[in-house]
This record gives sequence, C-alpha cells and structure tokens, in this order.
Amino acid sequence: MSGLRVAGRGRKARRTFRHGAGNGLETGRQIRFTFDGKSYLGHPGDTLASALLANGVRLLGRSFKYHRPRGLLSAGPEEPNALVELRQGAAREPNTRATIAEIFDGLVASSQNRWPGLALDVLGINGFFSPVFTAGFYYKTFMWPASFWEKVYEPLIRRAAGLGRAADAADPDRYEKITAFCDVLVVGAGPAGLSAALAAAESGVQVILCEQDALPGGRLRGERTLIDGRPGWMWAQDAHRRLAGMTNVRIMTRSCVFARYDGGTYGVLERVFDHLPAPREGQPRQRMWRVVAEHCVVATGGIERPIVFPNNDRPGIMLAASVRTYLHRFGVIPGHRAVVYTNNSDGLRTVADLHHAGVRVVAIVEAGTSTAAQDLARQTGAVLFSGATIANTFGRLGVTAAVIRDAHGREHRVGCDLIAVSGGWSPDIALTTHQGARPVYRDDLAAFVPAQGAGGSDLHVVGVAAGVMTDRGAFESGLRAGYLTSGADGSGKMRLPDVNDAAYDITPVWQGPGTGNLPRAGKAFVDFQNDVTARDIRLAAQEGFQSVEHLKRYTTLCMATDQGKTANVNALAMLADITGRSVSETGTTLIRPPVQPVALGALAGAHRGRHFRPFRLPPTHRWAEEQGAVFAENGLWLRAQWYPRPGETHWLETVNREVETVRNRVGFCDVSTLGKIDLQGPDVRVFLDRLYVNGWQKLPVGRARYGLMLREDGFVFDDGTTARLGENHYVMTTTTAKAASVMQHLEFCHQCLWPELDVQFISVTDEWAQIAVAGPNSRDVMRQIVDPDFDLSNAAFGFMAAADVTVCGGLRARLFRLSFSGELAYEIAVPARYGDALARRLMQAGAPYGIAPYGTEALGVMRIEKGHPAGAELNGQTTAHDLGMGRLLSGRKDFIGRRMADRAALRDPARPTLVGLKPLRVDAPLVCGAHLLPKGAAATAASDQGWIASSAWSPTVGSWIGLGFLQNGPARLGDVVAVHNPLAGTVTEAVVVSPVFVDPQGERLHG
Amino acid sequence: MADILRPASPVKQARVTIGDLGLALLPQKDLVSIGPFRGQADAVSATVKAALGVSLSSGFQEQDSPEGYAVFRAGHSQWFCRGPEGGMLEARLVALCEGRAAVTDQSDSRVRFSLCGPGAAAIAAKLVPVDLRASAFAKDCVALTLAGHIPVILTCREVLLEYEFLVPRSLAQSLFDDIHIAMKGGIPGSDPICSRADKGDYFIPSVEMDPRDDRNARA
Amino acid sequence: MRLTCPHCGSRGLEEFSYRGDATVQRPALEAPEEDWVAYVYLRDNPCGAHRELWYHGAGCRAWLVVERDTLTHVVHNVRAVCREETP
Repeated sequence: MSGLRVAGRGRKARRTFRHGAGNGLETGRQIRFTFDGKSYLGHPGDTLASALLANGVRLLGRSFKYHRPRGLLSAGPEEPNALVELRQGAAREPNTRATIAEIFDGLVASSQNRWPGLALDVLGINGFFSPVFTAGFYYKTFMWPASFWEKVYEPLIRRAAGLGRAADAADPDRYEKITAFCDVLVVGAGPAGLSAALAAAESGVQVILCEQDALPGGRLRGERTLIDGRPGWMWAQDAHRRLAGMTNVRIMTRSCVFARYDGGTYGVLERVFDHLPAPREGQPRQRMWRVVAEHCVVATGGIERPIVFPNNDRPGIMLAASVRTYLHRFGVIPGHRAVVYTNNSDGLRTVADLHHAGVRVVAIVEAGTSTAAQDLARQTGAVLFSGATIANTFGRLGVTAAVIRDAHGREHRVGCDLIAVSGGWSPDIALTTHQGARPVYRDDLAAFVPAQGAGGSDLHVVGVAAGVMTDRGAFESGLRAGYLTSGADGSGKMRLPDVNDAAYDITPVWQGPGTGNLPRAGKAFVDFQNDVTARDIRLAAQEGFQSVEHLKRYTTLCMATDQGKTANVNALAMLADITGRSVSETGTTLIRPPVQPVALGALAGAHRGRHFRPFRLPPTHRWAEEQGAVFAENGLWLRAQWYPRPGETHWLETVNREVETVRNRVGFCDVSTLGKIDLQGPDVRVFLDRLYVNGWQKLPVGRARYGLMLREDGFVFDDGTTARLGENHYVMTTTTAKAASVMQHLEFCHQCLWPELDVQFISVTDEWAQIAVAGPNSRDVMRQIVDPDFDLSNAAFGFMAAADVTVCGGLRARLFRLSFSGELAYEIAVPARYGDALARRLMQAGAPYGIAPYGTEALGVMRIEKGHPAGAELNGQTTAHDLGMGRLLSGRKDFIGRRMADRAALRDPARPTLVGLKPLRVDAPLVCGAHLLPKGAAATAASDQGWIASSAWSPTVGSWIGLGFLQNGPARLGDVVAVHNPLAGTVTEAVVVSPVFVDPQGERLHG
Repeated sequence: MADILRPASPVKQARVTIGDLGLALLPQKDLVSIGPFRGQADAVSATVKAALGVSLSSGFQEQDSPEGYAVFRAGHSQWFCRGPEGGMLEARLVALCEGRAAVTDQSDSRVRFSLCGPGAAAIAAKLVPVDLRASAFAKDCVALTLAGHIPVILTCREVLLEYEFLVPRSLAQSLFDDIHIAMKGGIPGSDPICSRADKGDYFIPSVEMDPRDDRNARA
Repeated sequence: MRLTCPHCGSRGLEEFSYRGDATVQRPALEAPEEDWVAYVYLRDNPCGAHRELWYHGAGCRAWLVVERDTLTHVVHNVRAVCREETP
C-alpha cells in the first residue's frame, strides 16, 4: 500500500490519504522533507505527523521497552508514541513529537529506538522477554551479582530500552530569555481563550495571548462546528485578526505556557525558528519568556484519552478527535476502513466526519447505548455494537482487524485500517496544579477538574479546562473571565456567537472487561510512552503499591516526555477499580512544571559558554593583555596570573622571576579587585569595633590597620585593612572573594543589629584603580609618581600610613603603605579611568629600577613566604586561634562572633593550628590537601593531625614551602611530620617551621 | 593636570548599531553618592536643591535641573548626584553638606550606556526583569536591578524607546557584550517569517471549502 | 516568586537573598551561652505563617522582614527592617 497524492491524470488510480484542503494548510505550495532517508512531499502548515500520514506512513517509531511498532496516537502535544529525531549533526534534536513538528523544505527527520530499522527491529524480541520488563523491573531484576549492574545490565538496558540520541556536539543554536508584564495572560487560543482575550482587550487592559500551536482556533480547527453560520476556524481567525490589530494585545503563537510559579509568574517557551531550517544569524532558536501577569485565564482545553484494550497500540489506532483534526485541519484521511470505539458522545462526531470525508466506517463500538449512535449507524451504514468493547486487534506493522466483543460476549472480527478511539476528555489542568492545588473528580465528566478557586484568585479556568464541555459554554466562560480580569462588568456587553452544540455525555469505561487479567490476550497499554500495561497496574496494586504516588514510581507510569497526558486518568481509574475505591478516593498525582518538555538550552538562555557569567575586568586589563599576560578567573574577576617574557619556557620560570624581581628590585600588581568600602559617619569607629575582632578606637587619621572579621559562630569570615582617611571617614578593604558577602554583612549589622549607629557606607571597589608597588626600590619608583610636595620618607610616611596625595602632576590619588609581599611596599589608588595609564607610567618610571609587573601567582608565592593567610586558610572552618591570631581578639568590647569564638573547644590548642612546612628534600613538592600524620603512623583518620592548605616553590627560600594546620602546631616547631597524599598514595616528610619563611622580623616592610 | 595620564575607555567599542537600534557609551560625568546622616535627609535635600536645583526624592524618579544636575536613588538611604564632567561635584557637595551626609566620589565607579531605538524596551527586557511598560516605567523612572547577572541602575529616557544603564565599571564590557547579543537576537514578534499568524496573516486554503462543510456536524 | 520591596516595588526572586527567621534576637554579650547557641544555631521550621529576613541585594540593599506562609507561599507583608529616612 503506497500512500500517494491525489490520483488521476490518466494513471492508475492509487489510494490517496489527502482528501482536500485542510483549514491549516497552504496546499498551493509543496515542500520536500525526508524521513528515515526517504523523501516525501508535504505542504506548508503540515506537521511531520500529518505529512507522513498523507504519504501513507503509519509506522513512526518503536516503543520504549518492547520495541513494538508504533504510529500516531494523537495530533497534538500529548503524543506519547511518535517521537522522532529532527535535523542532523550538532543540531540533531531527539524525542521531538512529530505531531507538533512543522515541516519545512529540507527537513531531515528520523525514527528512533530501533535497530537496525523501523520495519525490522531485532529488539522487538524484547516483547518475548516481557516478564522481566514488568512493573518495578528496575527494582527487581538485574540485582545480582551487584558488579554486573554497571558493566553488563545497564549498558544492555540502555541500548534496548530508550528514547532518541542526544547530539554528539555542542548545540549550535542560540537561546535567549526575556521578561514581560501584562494585566491578563490568556493561555490557549481556542474558542474560550479567544473570547477571554477579546473581552479583556476590549476593556483596555494589556493582554498576552499564548498559543502553543502555530495557528489559533484550538479544537475549532479539528471540527466542522459552525459559528455565526461559518466554519468555526474562520471565526477563530477573525477573532485572532481583531486581537492582532489591538495595541494592548501581544499574541504569541508556537508559545507554550509551561509553568505557573508563585506571584503570578509564568514560564513560556516560544519556538521562534523551530519551523524553519535554521535561525536567522544571531537570533534565537527558542526564546524563554518569563511573564508576570495580574491575572491568568487558563483556556488550555482538554486532552482526549484512549480506552485500554489488548493490542491497543498498533499503528492505525488513534484518538478519535485527532482523526478529525487530520481530516479537517490537514485534509488527511488517516485510513480507509474505520472502526470507531467510544465511551462518549464526542467520539461519535468522528463517525459523521469520517463518513463525510468518504471513509467507510465499518463499525461503531460504543460502551453505552445511545440514540445518537443508532442514528449515525443508520446514516453511515456502519454496524453498531452498543455496550460492546474491542477485545483484540491484529496487524504486524499497522492494524488490519479488530475483534469486537458485543454486549452478549460474542466476538466479531472486523477488517479495518483505522480504529478511532475515544475514552473521553480530560481537562488540561496542569497549570492549575503547579502550586499544589488538588483537582477534584467529577463523576458526570469522568475527569478531574480544577477545584473551585484552585490556584488563587488570579487564576481563571475556562472552557474544557474547567470542565465546560460545549462550545457555547466555552464562549460564555471565556467572555466572563475576560471581563472579570479587566475589572469591567461585561454582563451587558456580552454577545455570544451563535453556536449550536450538544451536551457531552460519557459512560465511564476505561478498559475492556478483564483486560488486566487475561494473560493470553495481548498487552493492553495504559501508558504508551513507558510501555506500562493494564497488567503492570494490577501487579503493582497486588504488590502493595496502591497509592498513586507509589504506582507512578513503581511502574514508571506518566513519566518521560509526555508525562502521561493520555495515560494518567485511565491508570487512576483502573487502580481505583482494582482497589475497590472510587477515583475520587484514589486521588491523582499533581503535575509539576514543565507542561511540555523544555530544552536545557532554553532555560540557560544567553548564559552559556563564555557568557555563562559576566567577567569583571580590572582597570589595567587591556594593558595586561598587551603585555601578553596569562589570565585566571578569580571569582568574577579576570586577573593577570603571570606575565611571561620572551625566552621563558615554563610558567614557574616566569613566576620565579617575578618573585625575585619584587624581593630584589621592584614589581607592581593590580590589586583593584579587593573589595573597597567607603564608610563615613560619627559612629564608624564603634561600627568597626563591632565588625572586627580587634580594636579601632585608637587608630589615628592617616593610618591603616589589619582587621579580622568573624562570623557570629566564631569562625573567621574575612580579613583586610581599614584606613582612616578623616575624622569620621574610613575605607575598608575586603578579600576579592568576599567583597559582596562583606557588603551584605555590613548592611545586616547596620540595619538589623545596630540601626542606632549613625554610619553610611557604599562600595568604591570600581571607583579606584589600586596598584601595589613592592620591593626594595619601590620608594624610588613612587618618588617618580607621587608629586614632589609629598614627603615619602620612612619617617613621614611609615608602615601602615595612608594619605590623600596627587600623582603625575596633579591627579588626585590615595597612597597606602601596605605590604602583602613583606617588602617595602605601597598601594597607590587613582580614579579607575587612569589605572591603565598609571600602569604604563609605572613601567616607564620604574624602568631604571628594574621594575616588572607581577601576577596573582607571584603574589600567592610571596604571601605564603610571609605566612599571610588567604582563601585556603580562611576556608570558613578556621578560627582566629587556628590562624595564630587569637591575641587579636579584644576582651574589652562586643563584636560579631565574640561569644561563640570563646567556646573552649574553639580555643583548644589541640586544634590544628597554622604552621609552616618545609619538605626534608627541598625539591619534593608539597601538595595542597595532603594530610599531616605523626612520623611512621598509619594513614588512618585516627592518626590524622592536620592538612596542608597552601604550597608553593619559594625561589627566595630555595625550597618548596607550605602553610598548613597541625594539632598543637606552634609547640611542634622542628618536628618532622609525615605528609600523606592519598590521591598519589605517597608519604613524604616535612619539618614543622614558623609560617613566616622570609624576613621573620619584618624589617623589610618597615624599611 | 595629569597631562601624562590619559583616561582609558571602559569598553573596546564605544558604539554599535543594528538597524535602527543603537547602543552607545555615554560621555563620563561627575557622579557623587550622598548618604545623609541620621535626621539630616531633609536638610541635605534642601541644601542640594538650593544649590543645584535638584532634591533627594524618596521616589525612584530622576530629578533634573537646567544646569545639568541630576539626582536619583542609589540605594536604601542613598542617592547619586550627577553633574557636568570636571565640575568638582564631590568637593562642592562636601562643602554643601558640611558633615551632614556621607559624600563619596563615584565618577569612575560607574559607566553609562544608552540603548536607543524602536524596540529598545524589548531588548532591555531580555536583560532587565522589571516592568518597562509606560504605565510602570515612565520617562525618568529609575530602577536598581539586575541586567542578567550584572547589577545596574536603569533609567527610562524615553518610554519604550530609550534606556540608560549605569553599570559598575569592571562589568561594563560584559554588559556591553550582553546588550549587543540581545540586540542581535531581534525584537520578538517583529520577524515576518516567524510571526505571520500573530499579525493575522494565515495560509488561505487554496481550494474553496467543500460546501457540505456548511453543516454543523451535530446539528 | 516575587516580593514587593517597600522601596523598589514588585521584584523577582533573583534580586533577593534569604537569611531565615526574622524573629531571633541577638543576645546581650553577657547572656548565657545557651542563649547564644540558640541564636546562632537553632531555628524553628514552621509550617504556615513565618517571618523571614530577606536582603534586596540586587536592588536597594535594604534588609526586609517578609511575612510569608511556608505552606501556601502567600506573602502577606513586606517591610524594611530599618525605617528609611527620606526627605
């Protein structure tokens, strides 16, 4: 049976699946696409599903566990079966629903989860092993021997059961995020949604209307309903056009509202370029919207359920309303000999529509008994089976026959290539349950509907989503909600379009009798995507998994990409049957975001790769680039790590040279990244006293002091220097890493703890380019920079002095005599815009003194040589005592952390305390993170006495050196300890020394 | 002064345009933060108003004076005052406030960008999560917020058409790049290929509908 | 989730950071150690109404007391910890 286009033109008439113009199709143009390597034609407006169906392709995929042949179940986003891979190479996207993928010229699509091919899939044999794949198989099988899991079972299962293949290369597409605000968000552009949007928009409020489909109309595109005497889809287009002409309305098609979050916030995924071969240059494939709305009208309609019967998953067995959608929207006949199986009045529409399209309906199988069915049978010539079920189906790669069991239990085999099934409609209530509101079960609809007021007063559910099953009701509820959200009383203005539809009537039948019991009958699928059968549900219930939450997790029901949109209610009703409870008592699982799958790329937006997070660039960045500096990330900052020179072959060579330059001549380093906070006010001194462990009452104007901050739990938080610039004016520095946390801490202390203190503070980190100039020649260099009227002599401007100065002929600057390197050193700060020029000027002025820039690596080596703690030592687990700074803790004032730091255990000298370490062999590297053990002790936790926090090769000492924490450390100077590196499995030896390796008397920095 | 130190630009490129949309670095001005001490807000505001023609308003609305001064919120109990470049604004304010407020020079701490042109609001909305509708963010409105991960002070210069970003200098290049990328991403709803239906332009079925369709299936 | 900052207006969660229970009071320096331990380490985890501290770090940098229902997520009230002095 080759499915081909319109017959005629003198050739032998062939069977066609396209019967005319669909209301969503541009039949004047043809486009070419391929599926599994074969080329096909379709029209603009086709989905991959409709185009394949029009070409007679019914087999679209293999099922998850049993590799059973599967075709289309639906025509919309609820599709569990027809998952395909779209595009190729890096752009390949797996698990895309063929029912929402719009075709374009050149589209390459392929089926997935089959090997070697779709029609011949050797893993179809899984069906014979189905006993191992039953409910809870993950938990029961493959458990022994344990070592087999990773090596044998898991790879085997992964190949046998699965979905599509992720692309092997990074996603080449762009994504972006955007925020929008509106008064009313309307979700869904069917009759209810369009009515709500019109009513709200006409009242003047700002409306965003989101429709996940490419075209408005919702079910109106799949029906022959007349509205005001014209086809319903025309009414929808007119309404849509009216809305498009209003300036207070934003219409978003191909945009799925996938989540409702707290505070009226919604996630919307806009598929901007998915329907075209590739996004336009620079533009996003998909756009993630965050919509903040005062009100939300949920007009999401409903999702039709199948009925569970043996072998109900063959290609050609489709949902009844989806059959109508293919007929009317796409002009496609899904089959030529149809059986319609329904438990509700809506399913009977399919009988009339198929007949109208020229399809022979051979049998109507209805669960109940209705006069409507009798009328239809008479009109169409179909055989009517009332009170009947389908007991089985046949056909290897597509259905060829149904076995109908009539009300008397007699079975009738009927040849057919299409079974249209309707198990009734489930309102699409996902958005109403995202915040935990439980839906309620309505027996008359045999469905869950949102509880009254579910989700909050800003949420208005209308149309089928609210359990209003008629078009007339949809218009009415939509209009009412639209007026309500806009605050207008629309009751007077409300004009309902003229529509005439019958009431919805359902006989709650979920499955053929005995479907879950008969082992000999074929598998009866409840959840097509996860291959969960009626038997699995019975088995789970028998094994005690009777809560819906347990059932779901035990059987994998309602998981994966479709989240059980077509399966959930059937499964619950079956569980209710088995356990002798009502559906209400059984309850339902709640639906969490996202409503439809969302690519991680879309959630990341523009924040990926180099743009994952912003970079902060110090003022000398461009100059450092010109110097060929190698950069490292330090928090958000990009800092020069070292400055290689021609001829240097290894980074260590460069770093050693930089260290030697500072120790012997003079070097400079951009330290603008340290946090800088400007504090002013009469109470700053008191404020500092409470923030730092040490005292600030006696710091004179023009001096700086080292300060240590604790957290309230007594552990060290941060350190830095604070300088007093004026009577009530201070500038605090923080570590680079903690700048933002310290600012937050200061705000907390000021606003929440001591609001009575009259202080003001603000960050000036970005205001000043601050450069450390260090080394014995630094004073000489500074004399070239600082204007000559300022006295730089040691007597006038000694260690820890601070002053406002001018530099380079009048530029205002701040000068500090601070030293991290232990050398005679200054920090000079100029307004940030001049930082770049200051670096150039320092290179020039310092040339005669042998100046060179140094990076963070040399900085780190020198601070280890001086025993200054930094990030690795201030790791949030060390106390002032641990750092050898216990004597700083003032006993004369309250400060953050004082009481907790005073706890005996935190002052215990047996705690690992800061020491220096030197390997016995100078060239034996000390490794950070290595454990310190008593010499000769076994490498066990019990003998662990500390660790190495920082280490470096010290060109000054001529040895590897390290800073570490050792129990009773200061009392053990001279001891030899074992250094155990568990990663390399090595034990070396090191001698415990003072943490100050260079110039222990501090003579250099005072010089 | 400082004849040998030349100021460096905070960004590599001072201006980019895409169609009618432009992103430009704005010239530097003097910028000073003012934080009144306890009980001094009224007095400081009055003093600044008398001298510069702008007051410290409690709202998030920039105040401008014909002399080229502007005051807007910089945070909880803090304001920024902007004035002509090289106008010694910090020194003036220190003198004016006479110890009644913390006055801190911020001229170099922040960089200003202007995003301007049709669709500027949509581009800004890709970065800034605040309500930019005319009803919520009129001309001269100020918002302290985030542009992506970057803290900014956003000012509306012309409703929907022109926005100014005040950004920490070290983050200026990143923000410039981020806005530029957002501009390349296009204005949502403006691409004719992507939004035909949104403008009410449908595929018109090329064949007239079957007259039999003019029957309601259920009627 | 959104919070209405008394200074900046309605803003998204990403501008705020959370600190926890706003009802705990920092004890006096000389208070018994148990009080300090309770202040630093012990927190109730109420189901329902809760007063919490939030920091509007990406906005006005004000610390806020948020009255929030931990069960329903309804925000009943937001106020600044420290009354702002404005002209």
